[in-house]
Amino acid sequence: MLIFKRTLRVIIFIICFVLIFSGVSNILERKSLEGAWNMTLKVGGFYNEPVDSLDVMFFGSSHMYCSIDPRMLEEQTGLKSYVFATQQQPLWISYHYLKEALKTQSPETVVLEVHMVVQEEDYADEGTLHSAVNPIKLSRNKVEMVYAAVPHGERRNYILDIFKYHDRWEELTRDDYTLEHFEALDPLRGFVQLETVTVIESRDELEAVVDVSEPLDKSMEYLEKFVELSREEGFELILIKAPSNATVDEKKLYNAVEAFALDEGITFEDFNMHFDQLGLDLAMDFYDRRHLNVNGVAKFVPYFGAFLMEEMSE
Amino acid sequence: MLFNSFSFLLFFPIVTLIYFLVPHKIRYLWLLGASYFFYMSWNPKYALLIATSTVITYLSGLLIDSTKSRFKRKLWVGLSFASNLAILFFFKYFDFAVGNLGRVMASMGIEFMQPTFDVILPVGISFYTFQALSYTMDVYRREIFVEKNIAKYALFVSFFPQLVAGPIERSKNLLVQIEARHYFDYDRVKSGLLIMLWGLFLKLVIADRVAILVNQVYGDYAQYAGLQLVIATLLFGIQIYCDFGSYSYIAIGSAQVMGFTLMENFKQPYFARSITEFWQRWHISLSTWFRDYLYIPLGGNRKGKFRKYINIMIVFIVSGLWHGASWNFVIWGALHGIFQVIGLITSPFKAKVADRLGVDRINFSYQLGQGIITFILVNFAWIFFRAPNFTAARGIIDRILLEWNPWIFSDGSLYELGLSRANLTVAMIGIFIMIGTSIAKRKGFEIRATLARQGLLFRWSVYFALIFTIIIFGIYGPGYSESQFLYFQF
Repeated sequence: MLIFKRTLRVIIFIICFVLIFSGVSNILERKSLEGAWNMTLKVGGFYNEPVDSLDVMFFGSSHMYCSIDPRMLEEQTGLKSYVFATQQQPLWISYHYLKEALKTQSPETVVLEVHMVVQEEDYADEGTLHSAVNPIKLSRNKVEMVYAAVPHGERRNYILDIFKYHDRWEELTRDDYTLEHFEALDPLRGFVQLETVTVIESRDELEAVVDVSEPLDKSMEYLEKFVELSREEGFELILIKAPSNATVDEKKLYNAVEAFALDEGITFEDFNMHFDQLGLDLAMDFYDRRHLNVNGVAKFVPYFGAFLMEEMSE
Repeated sequence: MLFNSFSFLLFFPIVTLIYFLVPHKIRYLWLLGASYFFYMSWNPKYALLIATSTVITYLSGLLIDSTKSRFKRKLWVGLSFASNLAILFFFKYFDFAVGNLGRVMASMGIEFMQPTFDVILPVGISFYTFQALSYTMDVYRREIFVEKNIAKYALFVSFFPQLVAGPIERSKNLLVQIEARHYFDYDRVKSGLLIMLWGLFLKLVIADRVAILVNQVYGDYAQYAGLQLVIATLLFGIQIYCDFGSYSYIAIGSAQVMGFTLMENFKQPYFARSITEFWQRWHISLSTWFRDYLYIPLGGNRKGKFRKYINIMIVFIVSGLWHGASWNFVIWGALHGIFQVIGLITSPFKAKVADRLGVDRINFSYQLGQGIITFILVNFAWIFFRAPNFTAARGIIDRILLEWNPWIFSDGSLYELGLSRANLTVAMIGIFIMIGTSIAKRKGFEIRATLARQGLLFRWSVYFALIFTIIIFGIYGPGYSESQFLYFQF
């Protein structure tokens, strides 16, 4: 009887500990709720979208989230979508983002922006990793994500990010305590709205670039996993390159993706090559050299929407 | 692995769990394996060194016991001491000795090619060497049975809770317990865990926090004036007590969980009213080791007053050297020796004066005064312990005496010493809590026992408060490099 009582007490103690721990962890975690890049809301808010409500989902890096406005796309095509991406997100994280999304959504089409084949290192920097990993809910998928993306010895700081953020006790704000973001929706649905206009002098000529540079083995490994997953789950996978005034070196890497897509029978479209058809203006449509601003998006989305509708009707 | 590391957080529960599941007869083998694993997590090669010291002292026990010849027994003691101290010398003092020899030669105009022994100091070597040697001596003095089982003896030398930074145990205490059976006791385990938690609090919340300020100020002392250096020095006194004390608490707590009782290593040392008393309360395991194996063999106080003073000086200079291969530590040790000798010499004089003046030496205010003076002397000596070298120490003392800047308390520069206002506040609160518990213990108040008698809600609130204070306010994580316990280089 005594052993039973004591064991019970220990178990209840542990449960209380876990509850307090996760509460404290939520308060201390760094949140990004303000500004154009409020990833805590964009990524965290995804969980609050109605289940099975999305037709298309967009994955990738900043090149993805600055190029597609889901509201505009829906107006134009009737397709409901969400941009589930973070800055500089390596492909292996995008893969797990997809797995995460598939828990609550069953999109017909999945679009992956492949810019991150330019990734040169097996492990990205801490800032990139924390931005991508923090807003994802703790689950087996998140642990797998961390194992793929974070080197040994640092994984604990991503699985239990209180170890990274506990020093924030000194700088807690009202937002940290109210935890409203746990129930909020991102009105922009993952889209990062960039207003600034930067005049771009010129762009590289990419027409004649036929060479192929090999991306990281790790990137290609995960591209294959994307394809595998699309076959298992029955969604259509489309690989794209958003207009980003790519350099010749980058184009060589995208060519590798093109070859890969060809092999696998998957659609790949590099919209850098559609610069003229899109009517893009280097002086008006870019936030910086690589990212479309709202002007550019207004041109890209209709064009892309038509492309998407065609792909989906095949 | 450090006690304040994730690895230990995994290592300890697993080792303890299996320890209680495994049959009594092989528990010591499991602990031996775990202890060597623990040690090798620093550097696998150094396990050979500790194994060597273990084998030498183990054999010395057998050899001493095998003969009745006084000469032969002394011979084995001598060989054991000589070989182990030689190992210690080579790994710890060789470069220091050669460096000094080189300077002496240079001053005489002789060229000297300095050979270097470029090896990292094996962790805990000063601790386990002393612990192993104490066994040799104890066997010689017939104060302990001879351990025939080399695995059990090896566990005595390498027992992981106290291997790396003490308490330095005696065979009469630890070896005896290795022979005994230990049972799981819920209350004892809870109490042990609480002790470990307290140690983590002292280390992560107080010691590593004030270390930030101490390192900044002592790292660039010329930038700072009097009071800032005083504050840094006092905080170093806190740091070294909390750091070293925390290690002892975690050692004692983890040993207690498994059923072992290790000796107390600290007894509220800063409440001491004389330097002599300080050393009865600070690093008790080391000072008793020196008392039993150096001071008494030298003659202790049995050869007259003058010889006693010499013996005290020898012991404290050696103790200084034990702490590190540098003149700063020697000076620090010598200072403590001098303070005690002066204390002893002036003691009758002070009694007479007090008598004449009708001073009551038993009341609180007088004893408080003694405590404060002792505290000041100890902290003065810490300057030499902490400063990077003698010149720095002198520079710091000069600035303390000559550059008095009380305005730092009101002009905000107090918060520019490395710790923000919030962090300094947390440190201060932590220190007050520590002082509070020390006063309670000094008064004989048994904190853990009293806590155990309180209601569940209260007890759990205390546990959670302690745990989350450590998790939230502890200095750890990728923002900071896991800081080393100070005493690991000894």
